[in-house]
Amino acid sequence: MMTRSEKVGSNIRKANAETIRRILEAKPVLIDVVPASEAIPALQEGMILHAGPPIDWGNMCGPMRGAVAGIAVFEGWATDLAEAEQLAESGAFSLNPNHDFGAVGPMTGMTTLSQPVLVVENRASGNHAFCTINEGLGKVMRFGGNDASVLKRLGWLRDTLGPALGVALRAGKGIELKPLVARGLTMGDEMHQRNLGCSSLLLRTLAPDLARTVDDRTALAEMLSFIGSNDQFFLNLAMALGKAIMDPVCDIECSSVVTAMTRNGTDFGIRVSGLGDEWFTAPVEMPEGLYFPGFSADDANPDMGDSTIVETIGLGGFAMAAAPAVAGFVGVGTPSIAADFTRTMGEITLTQNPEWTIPALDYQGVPTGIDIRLVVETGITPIINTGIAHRKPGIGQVGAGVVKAPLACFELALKALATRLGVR
Amino acid sequence: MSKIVNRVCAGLFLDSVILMQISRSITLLEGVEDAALMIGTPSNLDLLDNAKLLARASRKATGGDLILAVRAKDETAAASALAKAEILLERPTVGHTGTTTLRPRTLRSAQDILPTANLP
Repeated sequence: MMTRSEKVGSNIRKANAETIRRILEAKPVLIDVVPASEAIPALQEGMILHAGPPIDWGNMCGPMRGAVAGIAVFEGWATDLAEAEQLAESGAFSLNPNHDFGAVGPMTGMTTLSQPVLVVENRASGNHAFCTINEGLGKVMRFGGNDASVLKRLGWLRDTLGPALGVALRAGKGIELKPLVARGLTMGDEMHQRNLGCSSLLLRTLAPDLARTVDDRTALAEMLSFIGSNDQFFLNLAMALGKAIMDPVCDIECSSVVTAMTRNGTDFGIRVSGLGDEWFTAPVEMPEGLYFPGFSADDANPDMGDSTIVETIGLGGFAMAAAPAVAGFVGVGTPSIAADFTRTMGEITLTQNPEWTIPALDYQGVPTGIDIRLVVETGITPIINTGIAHRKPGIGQVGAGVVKAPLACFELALKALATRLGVR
Repeated sequence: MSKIVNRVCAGLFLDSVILMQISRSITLLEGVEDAALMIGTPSNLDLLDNAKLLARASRKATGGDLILAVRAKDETAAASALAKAEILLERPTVGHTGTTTLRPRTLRSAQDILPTANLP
């Protein structure tokens, strides 16, 4: 005869085993690029999806406000940034988290009607996840950039690259993403700050179909050059793949596994499988990092973006051992201790992913399945590799670094799970 | 009047994180206003330009080149900072090169590391 607490423990173990099974058996495939309006029929005029847990205009940080104003001009809802800000202030836009619409977005994470989105199908569960196309480096909307050059690039993505990628992908059978990531991990990618291997592998896979389907050679050269010169092109795809893997596990009764971690530049939020779509939030932390010339920690915005979905599936900071240089961002950290970060994340996860292994760790799999009980028990919080935006709107990226998820989110979630399961 | 000094090393590549670490240590030197070591990609050239670190001749640099850029209070400080940057580039190790042994924080992971341990 089991005691009540043994029964709860047994239920959690079974639920977590099912959660892990679904995560590991996921089969994410890049199948298309379509306008967001087509991918997400619930998207309406005046609706803006953003990164992180829910937030209103009044509480948004500088770069997030800059991006909201910029995307409103891009969509033709305002004639200039000043008018866009007034409209936002008056509540004219409906602001919602990407996560509620099967989507994710890096940094500010703007998703609106006309932007093209990558469509990832999880063929094990049949669900789809979406993410916009990575804009490249420099002044870009994901880091709060919103000037004419930023909007012009978004226009080119919408009118040229997005449709062309859609045609090229529909001409093929889709691109299986798990083997691509597995290979990237052996090439120095951790899929958050480092995506050079996977971006190159993706380009080499896409290029023949693009060449077959794009008639204009100048346009084709421009597209190949755009993808080829962006070391982070794969990031958005890694994010959509993460969302496609995690959505089918987002509501398993009794499961204590984290299904989403995300930040809006003000708050950090997590979701837990056994607690469905409820957010558990705490103030977001400042990344520790290195800065581009002309910028310092004084310019930095707190942590931001849905990109932490990659850590949620065992990549990014959890796969630091695959990209040892990134450990250099942390205080006294050096590449030779990168494996320690990955091993430490093993303390708060339930398993290793045997399909995503790291040669430098003797082919151990990436730590997978963050258990809120282990986070609270050990006090070890997920480590996240991230870019750093300027805290003022319109400027862009100022550096890169590493940040920790706040413990309070996990404590709140654990209390809620205990209440749900009748544990006092 | 500040002095901007650049040196373009053709065909030299080093990881951006170690370059940022070297940049930070050069920036801390006496008389240096700002400094950066960057690969000459278009977006990096923009960053250097915006930070008032890019000499006119360096605009021709490409993604295959490494740019050493210093802005200092005078020519002597700039030359000395550039020399220091070159020394660090010659031996870019960040100090700690030993291997570490991570100690497990819980019995669960200790047992993962040593599955044959004689634990009940």
